[in-house]
Amino acid sequence: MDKASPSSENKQLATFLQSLRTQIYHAKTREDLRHVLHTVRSFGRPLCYNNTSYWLGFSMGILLGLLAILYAYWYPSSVSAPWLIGAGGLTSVIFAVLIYMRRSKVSDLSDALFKQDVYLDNNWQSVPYHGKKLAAQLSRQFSEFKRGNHSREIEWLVKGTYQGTDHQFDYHAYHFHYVDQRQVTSTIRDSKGNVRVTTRTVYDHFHRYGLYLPFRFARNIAITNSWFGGFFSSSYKPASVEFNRKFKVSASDELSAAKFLKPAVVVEIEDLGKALSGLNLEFNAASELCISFEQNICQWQRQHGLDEPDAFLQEIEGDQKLATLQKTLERIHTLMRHSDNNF
Amino acid sequence: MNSSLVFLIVFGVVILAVILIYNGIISRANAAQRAWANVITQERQKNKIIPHLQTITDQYQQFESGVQEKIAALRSALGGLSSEKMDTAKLAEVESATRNLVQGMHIAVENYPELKANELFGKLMREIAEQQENIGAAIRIFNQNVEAFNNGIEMFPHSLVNSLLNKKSTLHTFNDSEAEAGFDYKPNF
Repeated sequence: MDKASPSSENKQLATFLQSLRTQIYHAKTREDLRHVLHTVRSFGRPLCYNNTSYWLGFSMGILLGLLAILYAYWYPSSVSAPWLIGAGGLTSVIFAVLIYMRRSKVSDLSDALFKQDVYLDNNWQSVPYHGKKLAAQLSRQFSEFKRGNHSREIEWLVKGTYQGTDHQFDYHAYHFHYVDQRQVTSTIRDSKGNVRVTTRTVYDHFHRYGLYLPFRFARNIAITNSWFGGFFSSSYKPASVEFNRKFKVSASDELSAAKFLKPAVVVEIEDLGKALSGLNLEFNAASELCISFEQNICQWQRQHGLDEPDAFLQEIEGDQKLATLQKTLERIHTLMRHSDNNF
Repeated sequence: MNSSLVFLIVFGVVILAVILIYNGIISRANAAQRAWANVITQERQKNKIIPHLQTITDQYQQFESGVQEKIAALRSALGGLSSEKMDTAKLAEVESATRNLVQGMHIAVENYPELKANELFGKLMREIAEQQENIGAAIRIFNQNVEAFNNGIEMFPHSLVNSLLNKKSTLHTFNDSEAEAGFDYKPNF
């Protein structure tokens, strides 16, 4: 059998990758993802471009540059040598970028496929949103999003569903990026002893993560570890010294806070605070909960890729449920269980 | 600096530290007392479920015979609790009576499977489970507060202030002796 030329091999691979992209994009079940990986296995060769011609171009560029340097060394007055050095350098940079782009094509597809798997395993759906508009809308619902005097933006958002033993609820998980702007004044003394005062603007970037969801059993209560402003007029302290050391409770009225903060709820929040730093729980007037913290609990990392389909298939077969997220959802469910009425 | 002024400053700092330690001991003692009262409040929540249990026993005559005694035992144990006096032995009695009642209810379900389908019974079991979780949590908070209080009177220089001024004794944490009996290991403190 005749061996296909590198260019036709690459063309065939590009077409195959394009069809894979479409399949991954439309994958709705784990079976669909499995099918993608079986297709990769049946492709019959590794998903790698034949970059011989690009490497040749890269080497030629380097060689041209080196020869031009030598030429410039022997003939320092030469006008064309610097141009040749530049042309050689540019050629090798262009080919290096092309090689890198080809390599990342496969890696990007592996990322996309793994992301789909993570979304499926965690019961997530992508939702359309505009980062700045959504942050503005959320700042009207929760004080948490009033942080940042310069800019506020939701950088990532997903919608999920949690099914517990007693309650089922939908939630949104987000990544909130906000920027504080401040003026810094410094005094500089020059060599002649003159004092000059300069003012510059500094931008501090912060990232917080969290979930927001309907929580119909509590309203107008804020339990905050990362305190940044007033929430409600009344304050309340439950009996736990440890809880009071870590959290401040404010509510529209003390009684509703006392009713909500049953001992089981208090210890659940204590434990939640141990797992998540900078934890805030805000129940707004519309009976919605925003639980926010400093760690990104919706992070994932793949171990394998499409270049090793068997290992990748095994990885995809595994459960990609994000442990800290699941534990947090479980704890929210416990809060619901203790706040509802059994009779 | 004048030596008498230095003496006055040092004396002032010592007095301030003593006041802070004294008040700290009082506030931790009150926190332990409040946590105890909280445990008792949670235990008394069980009174809420007794009328529902009566309804069930009225519906199932056979169920009544075994469980009725246990309800009476729980009621009597609950009557012995006081939010003023930290009596962990009485609390253990209530916990034991609750355990017996729940056990009795489980046995009743095994003997009378139709109970499982009873909506009120299901709600009751859920309520009892949640109450037990709340009592467990209230006991955990009480033990945490007792630990903070005991540390606050036993550590130096708090121990000095306590022996001279507060004169408080260490409090006992709540131990479930029935649960402890299940372990071979016994801590040596």
